[in-house]
Amino acid sequence: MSGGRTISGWAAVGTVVLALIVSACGGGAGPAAPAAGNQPPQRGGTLVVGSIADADAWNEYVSQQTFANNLLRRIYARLGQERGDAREHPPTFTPLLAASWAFSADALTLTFTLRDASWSDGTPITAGDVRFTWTAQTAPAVGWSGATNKERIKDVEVVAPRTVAFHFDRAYPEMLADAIDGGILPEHVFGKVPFDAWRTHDWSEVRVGSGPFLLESWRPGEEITLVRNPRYFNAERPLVDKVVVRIVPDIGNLETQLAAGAIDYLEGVPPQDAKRVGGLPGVSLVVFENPMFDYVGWNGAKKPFDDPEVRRALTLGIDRKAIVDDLLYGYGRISTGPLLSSWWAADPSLPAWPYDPVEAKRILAAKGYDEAHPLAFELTTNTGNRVREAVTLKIQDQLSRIGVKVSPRSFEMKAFRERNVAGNYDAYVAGWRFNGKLDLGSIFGSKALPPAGSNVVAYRSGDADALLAAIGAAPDWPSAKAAYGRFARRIHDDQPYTFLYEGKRIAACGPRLRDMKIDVPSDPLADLESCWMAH
Amino acid sequence: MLGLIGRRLLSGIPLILGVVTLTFVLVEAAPGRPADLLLGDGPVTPELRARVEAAYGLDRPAPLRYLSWIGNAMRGDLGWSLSRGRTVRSVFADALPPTIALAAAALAIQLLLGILVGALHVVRPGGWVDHALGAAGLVLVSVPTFWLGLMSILLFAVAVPIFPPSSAHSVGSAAWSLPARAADLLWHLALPALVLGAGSAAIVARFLRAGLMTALGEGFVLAARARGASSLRVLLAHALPAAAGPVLTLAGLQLPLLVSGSLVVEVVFGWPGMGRVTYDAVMAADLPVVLAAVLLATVLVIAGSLLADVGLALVDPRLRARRPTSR
Repeated sequence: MSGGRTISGWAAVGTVVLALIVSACGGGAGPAAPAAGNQPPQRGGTLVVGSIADADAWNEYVSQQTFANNLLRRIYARLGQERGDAREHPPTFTPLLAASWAFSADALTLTFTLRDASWSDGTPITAGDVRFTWTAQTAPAVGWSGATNKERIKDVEVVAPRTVAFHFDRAYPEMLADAIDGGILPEHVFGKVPFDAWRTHDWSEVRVGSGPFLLESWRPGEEITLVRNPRYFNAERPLVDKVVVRIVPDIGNLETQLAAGAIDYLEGVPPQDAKRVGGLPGVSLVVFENPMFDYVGWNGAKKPFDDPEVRRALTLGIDRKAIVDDLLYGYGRISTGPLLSSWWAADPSLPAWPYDPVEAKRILAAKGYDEAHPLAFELTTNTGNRVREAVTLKIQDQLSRIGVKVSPRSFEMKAFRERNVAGNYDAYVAGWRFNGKLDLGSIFGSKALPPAGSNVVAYRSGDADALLAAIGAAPDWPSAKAAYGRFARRIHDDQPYTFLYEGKRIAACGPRLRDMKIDVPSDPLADLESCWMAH
Repeated sequence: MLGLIGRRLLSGIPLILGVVTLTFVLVEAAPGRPADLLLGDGPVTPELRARVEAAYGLDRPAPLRYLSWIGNAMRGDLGWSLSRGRTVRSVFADALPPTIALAAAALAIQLLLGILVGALHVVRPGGWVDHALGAAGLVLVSVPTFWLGLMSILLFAVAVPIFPPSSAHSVGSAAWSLPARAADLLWHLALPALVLGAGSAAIVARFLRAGLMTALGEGFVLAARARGASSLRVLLAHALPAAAGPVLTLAGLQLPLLVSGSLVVEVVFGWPGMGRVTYDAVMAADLPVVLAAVLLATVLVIAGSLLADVGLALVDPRLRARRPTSR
């Protein structure tokens, strides 16, 4: 049992129980990263991470789970690592397996020169591994959900053992990001399994990797152990010898373990617990952007939600600041959508619709809705998401003030999705995760109605379709940004969705953990190799 | 006795098939498609959905998948877990030992503590010990298991850190010697087993108290006393076997817990057992795991009640004397 605690006895029980009770009305704590102070980084030690989730598969291309992918990125290095600078321009990258890269004169070919590195079993990492990985990423039998990022790569050519060229069908702003997306796999290991068997193959026995860590053991439902890769190309990293992930499906238990010193890092602290957890002795919070936003989708195939003015009125009647303050405890911001505000393509000058119940009521009255003939609809969400369920109740309360009758209802996730895809709803609350890119065409395109696409709100706009085409055709990022800006304004005016909020994610670091930085929201463990444990 | 066992086993087959079929129909009838949960939150093309469904055989008609699962299960192949990326057999192979260890320890605590307290109840019926034990038992039975678990963690893992707060092993224990690992497992087992066993022990104690009170007034006990048997001998050798019937039935019915696991305790203590596997599978619509878990639980319910009947016949001479042909 890890020690280091100074409180003990019955007084401590009282304190902890009281803290649990007080937490119900706790507020937000300020962001604070654990600082190294003047201490130089120390090598060795074991970092214990607490997690609610277990891994679903030990292969990035069949796994659907964010947490598993975050670990897999530490085992299978990419050609480059995204820097946390995507707010101003498309992300730039730090070389990882690639030592350098360069575009051809016509900008259609991107050539990577690999560094002199080897897999953990001593086999050299070659251009053949890169080509094999691209073949797997795009293989229909593998069915990787990120394969759309590779659509414009027509071929990956092995030029020399350590030189590989990506050929694109045309130039566009995110060529480098698309080429780099996905961990490079060892062909001599993964190539032994045919692609059509990848989804039903147990990958947990594979022990070969190229990243800073290797999978040492996996006790499903209990523990994952990553161990330092002795052949990692950067001999100075990682600083810790092991990372042990303790899997406990109860956040309260994980917080208790953090308090007891049994775990050192915990991601996903609920906003309502942040103040209490941040107040634990020696514990500091790291607050970072959560790359997703929640929204209300209005069924554009149904009256009156096919009318943009009615949708705008409903947006004006929803007090999103109150939702952020009351339900997210301040850990979030109002979303203007449809682009994440921390993404380079977002237009910061685009204003969010204000909370204006008077104007909302005026518009609805002009549309024939009043106390005698109120607008009434059902607002659904998925059962089990406590925040979204609370959001539906909050919206019910807010819209009741402008005479709109909302009936909140929750459905089990599968039933919820099926209803939405079938168009069997009035309005629903859900969210989108943003992993670097959002396929706007499949969400807003007139031709993307289900089942062909995910335009479940049946949004149709010739103007928006033209702008989507302009985004796709933009040759460089400034022109793409301009097209994105025009598109966002179109969506802003039409309000097929009321974008509610972008939440923040909260991580807690125990007293021994130092220099845990989270620069890339979509890859919070990116800097895992540089954090260290104070002995 | 053998006839009884044979007949009970045979009658169990249609029961198992019925339960498994009903489970399959219920899970299939639920709205949505399993592939939805395999494809994450983002937009999904129909082509990708079709490819993923084909990879797992989810594109075949439900009756065909049902028959195929039954055929494979009879050969010992329980299928592929959609949510865990492994065979169901390997998922169970990992989850069963912790669950069996936890349930066996809880069962032992339940019986030992229950019998001890039950016997203490009747030392002086109506006395203060009897009342105090009754009140304590009532509290244990009444409080929710999750609350008892959380409080025990706060008390014995945080405030007075003598037990670990969760999991079945210590960090790095894989490299330890076998005795050290066994001791580590027992250390981790203590709190969850106590929490799981304590409530049931109170029930056992109440059953036993009632049985003992009846038995102590019966003729064969009075005869034993008249022959000069000591109070302890009367209690242990005469009254206890006669009062053990309901307790054994209760213990037999607890057998399925040995493999089905206790979801609440496993979640609260992060115990990597069958309860969590089954719960996760239900939430993820992981049909092969759900079906296999139901199959296993059904088999054990039948085996448990059979074992309880056999055990009852063995300990109670009055039942042993009867021929079981009437059943």
